[in-house]
Amino acid sequence: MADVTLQKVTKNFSAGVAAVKELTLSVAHGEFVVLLGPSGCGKTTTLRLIAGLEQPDAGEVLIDGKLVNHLPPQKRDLALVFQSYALYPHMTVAQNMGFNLKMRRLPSYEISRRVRETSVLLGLDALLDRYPNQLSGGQRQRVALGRAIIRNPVAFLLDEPLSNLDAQLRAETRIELLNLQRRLAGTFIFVTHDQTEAMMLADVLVVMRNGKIEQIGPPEEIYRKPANTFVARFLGSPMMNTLEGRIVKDNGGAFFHNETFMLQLPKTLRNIDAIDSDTKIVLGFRPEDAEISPRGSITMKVELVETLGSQKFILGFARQGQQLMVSIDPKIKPQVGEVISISVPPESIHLFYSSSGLRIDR
Amino acid sequence: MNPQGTSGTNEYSASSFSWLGKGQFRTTILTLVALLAVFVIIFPFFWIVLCSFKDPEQFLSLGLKESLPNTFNINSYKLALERANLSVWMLNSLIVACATTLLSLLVSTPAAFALARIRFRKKLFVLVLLISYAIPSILIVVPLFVLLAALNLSNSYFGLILVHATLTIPFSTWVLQDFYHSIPPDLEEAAHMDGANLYQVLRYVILPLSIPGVLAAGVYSFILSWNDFLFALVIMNDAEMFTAPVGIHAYFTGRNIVESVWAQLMAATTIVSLPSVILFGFFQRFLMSGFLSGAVKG
Repeated sequence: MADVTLQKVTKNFSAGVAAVKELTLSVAHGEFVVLLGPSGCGKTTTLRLIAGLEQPDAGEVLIDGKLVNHLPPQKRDLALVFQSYALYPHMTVAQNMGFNLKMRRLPSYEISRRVRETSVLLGLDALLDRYPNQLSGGQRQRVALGRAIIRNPVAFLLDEPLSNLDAQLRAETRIELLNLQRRLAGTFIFVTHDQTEAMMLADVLVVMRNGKIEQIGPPEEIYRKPANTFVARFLGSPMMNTLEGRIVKDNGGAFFHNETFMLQLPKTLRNIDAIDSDTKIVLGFRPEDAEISPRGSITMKVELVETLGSQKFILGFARQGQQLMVSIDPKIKPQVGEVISISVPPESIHLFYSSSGLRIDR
Repeated sequence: MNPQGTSGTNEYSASSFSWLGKGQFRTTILTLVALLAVFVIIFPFFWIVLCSFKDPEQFLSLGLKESLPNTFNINSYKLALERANLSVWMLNSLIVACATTLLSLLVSTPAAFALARIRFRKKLFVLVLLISYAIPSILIVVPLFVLLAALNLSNSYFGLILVHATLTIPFSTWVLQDFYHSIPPDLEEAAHMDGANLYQVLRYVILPLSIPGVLAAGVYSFILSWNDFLFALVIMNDAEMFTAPVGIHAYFTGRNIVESVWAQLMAATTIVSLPSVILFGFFQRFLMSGFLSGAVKG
């Protein structure tokens, strides 16, 4: 297994439109890195640049410290699992899995041995003579994984490999994938737009937008301390509530102030002293961090109550028309149209500059 | 709304085909048109085969009863095979058609792959490909003959093969590039990731998947070459070098048209047509999927 590094890599697809802009990323040996972002953010292009299926217009791609920009995909010894699985339809499961070994001119008894071993590992041993069109979606996905594992590559690249599976199978496969990564101690680079998948799988999460990295870090850290409003809203379901307002300083204390309410900000908040009074800021809090409280400073009118078994959400509007979502105890039964007050603990407040969207408390 | 009035209007506007649904009516008309087209195309061939079994003495009789064969006479076939040099001409046709097919596939398979997959400015190339196919053959007969004569290739297999290939390559390339488009690029990329180089991708992934397309292009090339009359007539001068269509033409137009020769002509024509018909019948499934691949892909 190997380290994979991208240094200031840029890829343009058409004049003036950069799919990836000066992207720098370092994936350590044995890490499970997830590239997460909305459609068109450049995550798949980044993966293809590492794979060698795309050539960078600028920057360097390094595997184990060696520059591989000039190397075609077949010489990089990386395995890629495609979103479509890309199984060869005219080959059986065994032939699909053994194709790479055949290209490496391994003797046929060695190919058979390794195909057998890998198929047992993935529970595919009964399906070796079947063709891809005789397999279910989950089985195809496992064959695609098997094709990657069998060759013992320097790193695994996975391009939304779970997106074609139904919800239950996806959840099961996520666990299998994690177990597999631990067993192989492999370097995994995984692309997805599904944040639940990303949060669950990643050792290191890379959130991308418009060809750039917005934030890198452990998923928990990114969730708790999003670097900007984009990451704050993108990560988490339901997404973070954000309210526009200004900072007001009074008697040494700092307050978030908008037309309808005022909220004292914790004194421990870093960088708060450096901000001028009256600067436009965005206050954010996660739905699960808010609670209904008669003394709460934010008021909202309930528009919709959503019950999801163990959880209940209320959707409503703050007085100045901003949409808010709050997670509540399922036993509480608020009425549609009711005006409620909510409070947010100071440690759960996120503050961002309105102009740049960057986090104040960095 | 007046339900009665509405129903009355429908009643009077119903066509005389009201016993058929709208879809059925359309299908019936289309089937009739298709049957008519098939009849127009098939009838001459059917008549040739029918006449080849007729009693040569009654070949040109005008009576309706006599014009239909009342005997199953295979004498004409025996005579055609014995007297005309049919076996040599068919062998010539076979050599030229097989070589044309091979040459055509050797050029069009990689060319089509390049057109379908490799990024380059190909609009002009595709335009030339289409135009070359759209030019009527008769326009290029003389220039091609002059060219072949200058190259000392007239009256040779190789010359005729080259000329036939110039006709089949554009079409084969077009059919195949459409076919390649229907193969997901992910498969090639997967093969590259699996360690295959461009040649191995073609050999192990693309070609096996494009067999229907390659067969369609191959059968088309073979049939076009086998059936060609115009170019073979101009390029092949010696009777020993004639292809089957030219041989038949030369043999039968060179003698007095008497009744017995007509029946032989029909028999010879039937024999020569058989390989095309058999080939088409055998590969029909592949031909349809090959030609339609571009049309049906999403």
